[in-house]
Amino acid sequence: MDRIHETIYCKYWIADGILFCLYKPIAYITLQIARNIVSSRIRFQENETFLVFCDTRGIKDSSKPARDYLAREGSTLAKALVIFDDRKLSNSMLHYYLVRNKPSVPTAIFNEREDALEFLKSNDINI
Amino acid sequence: MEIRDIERLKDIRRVIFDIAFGKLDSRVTRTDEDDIIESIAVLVNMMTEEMRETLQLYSELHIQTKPEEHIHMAFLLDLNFKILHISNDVLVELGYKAEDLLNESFSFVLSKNNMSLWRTIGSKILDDEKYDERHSLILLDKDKNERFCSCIITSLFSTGSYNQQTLVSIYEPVKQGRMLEDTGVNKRGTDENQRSKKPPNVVTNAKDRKILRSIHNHIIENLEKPLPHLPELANNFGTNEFKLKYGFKQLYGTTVFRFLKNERMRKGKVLLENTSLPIKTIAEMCGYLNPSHFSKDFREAFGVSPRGSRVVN
Repeated sequence: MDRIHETIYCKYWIADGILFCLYKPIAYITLQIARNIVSSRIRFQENETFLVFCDTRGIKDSSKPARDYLAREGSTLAKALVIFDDRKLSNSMLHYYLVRNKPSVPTAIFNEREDALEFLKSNDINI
Repeated sequence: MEIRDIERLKDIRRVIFDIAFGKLDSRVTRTDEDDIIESIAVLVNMMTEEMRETLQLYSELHIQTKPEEHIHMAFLLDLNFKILHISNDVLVELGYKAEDLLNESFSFVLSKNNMSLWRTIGSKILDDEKYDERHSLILLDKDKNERFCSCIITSLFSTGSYNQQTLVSIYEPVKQGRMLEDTGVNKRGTDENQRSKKPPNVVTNAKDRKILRSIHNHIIENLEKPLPHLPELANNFGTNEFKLKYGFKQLYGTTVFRFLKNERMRKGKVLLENTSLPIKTIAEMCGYLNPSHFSKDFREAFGVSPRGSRVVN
């Protein structure tokens, strides 16, 4: 494990060339919180592009402007991105989110951690 | 089925009826459950928000509303964020009596999911006598039904008095019945001359819309690459220039090249503000071979140079 960074909303670390982003319990993600999350992740990356693994189990609800922002800017400096969430409601919430907001890099949702990591490795292209 | 689940389903039914009546700021109250009912609650809320945004754009384009056709809810709060005064629309729209609210904390009318946000706003207000920001808050009506509101929160502070007050103001067009009235409003506002100037309707069939969405996705996935001219781009996706030009504008409210430029600028701004990459590299990542063209477009979009935007952040 190389580096770790923690904000009030997320914990970030890098392992095996993958940037892990763990969302802390957040009742309602607003646009301001979404901006903070994206900004702190990109700053943590220090100009490098990574495969990104997001554990979103802490998110309870979000506003539409926040979702739009995460979909558009959330993949900046990402080669590919996975969302890991094993809650029942995540199936609806996150699939709907991806249908309505097409991210600019390969993105998928998994409820199994191993499958998510496999997807990232299969999308590990050099940029 | 448990009584609690029946209540949750009734809440979803209430919001679906609200949607039918055009009340798109209605929300299903979220719980901490993780089951199929909660999944449907989430989907209904997300879908309502999508519809609200689409209708808002539609109404801004087509409906000229007058001040009397607006709802104005206002809460005046004291230093401890207790409610001092409320406008009449608060009573009409949220169903409270004045005595239910006066001297109550403002958090009484807020969804519990907004408590943490409200605490953050509150501490900023106490620090900043010129606080004036817009926030999306979820208010509760008398029956504890949630309602999404875009609020302007302003600190009212006069020098010479230590009595800082806060105004929470919600100003929105009357939405009730809009879906039914739309046709009427448009018919009244559209004479033959205007109709003849309208762009042709080219997104009536699903296949054309699917192609336009593919082109839209292709653009956001390839911001760093040059975009072909419209005839070639259209040809690559199995359509023609006419359908691409008018259809894209109809579907996304902007032209292909303006959309491309906006997306490139957004990407550039995020990279400038959060990385130390050279401006030349960021320009290339945004599809500009010439950094000075990037700088010119950036300044046009945000009123500040790329370097200036970086300094500010």
